[in-house]
Amino acid sequence: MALPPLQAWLGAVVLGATLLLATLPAAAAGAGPAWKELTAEQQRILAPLQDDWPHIEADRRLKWIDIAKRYPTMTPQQQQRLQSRMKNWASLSREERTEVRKRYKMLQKMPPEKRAEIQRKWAEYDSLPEEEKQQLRQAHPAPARKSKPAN
Amino acid sequence: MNEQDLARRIARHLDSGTDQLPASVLYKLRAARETALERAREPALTHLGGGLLAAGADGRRLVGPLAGVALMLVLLFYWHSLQQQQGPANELAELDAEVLTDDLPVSAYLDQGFEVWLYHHSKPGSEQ
Repeated sequence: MALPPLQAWLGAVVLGATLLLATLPAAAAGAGPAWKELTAEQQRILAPLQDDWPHIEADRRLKWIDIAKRYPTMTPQQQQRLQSRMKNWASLSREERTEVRKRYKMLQKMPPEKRAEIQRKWAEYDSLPEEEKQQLRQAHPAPARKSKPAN
Repeated sequence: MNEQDLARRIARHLDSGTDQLPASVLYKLRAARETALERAREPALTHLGGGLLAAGADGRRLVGPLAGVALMLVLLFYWHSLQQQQGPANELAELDAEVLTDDLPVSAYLDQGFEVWLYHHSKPGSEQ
């Protein structure tokens, strides 16, 4: 039986390489790991997301798994915050998450005392009656900063 | 007698014998010549392969290194694509973990009422 010529070998190698290149990144991105493919520990940490998991895109699933890896290094308070906030976070639109990240970064650039003041003011605002908060929301957008009286 | 004369004499001597060659030998020689010319017209690479039987050990020796190079390229591209995918994902995971565990809840960043309230309570002497 005659063996295939070298051209055929080369063609097969190149074709194989091309197919591999085309499929491997896709497999890495793919649909992402299914809920049942997560470890028991990951499922426990990400439990608030279980119902939403099938609707979460592949890249975000990988991100949550990455966050779950960081979970053991968090303080108990951080762990509690993470689990209580993750469902709400996952339900936000992509634009809203982007906006939050942007504002968070801006806040981190502020001096510590300014950040502490904003946290204190949030606590004050959060304690307002819901009606009052609703009125304030309806008054949005806030007046432009340029109209602020000069000091 | 120079070299050219000598060559001509040898050629004439050799040619004189070809007229007496049997038809079967002539046929085989012609066929071999045509085969050789046919192969000479084919691309060199085909010849190298020409079926590994024809190309012999040359073809066999090339397959391994070429396959190795191709495999290295595949692994390199795969590693590169993974790096590209994981880099931003890791950064985002780190940022999101920070946001989700921060003292300020996520709702504070999106609550438009807080924005208005904050504005009014940031003005000097305007405490409500």
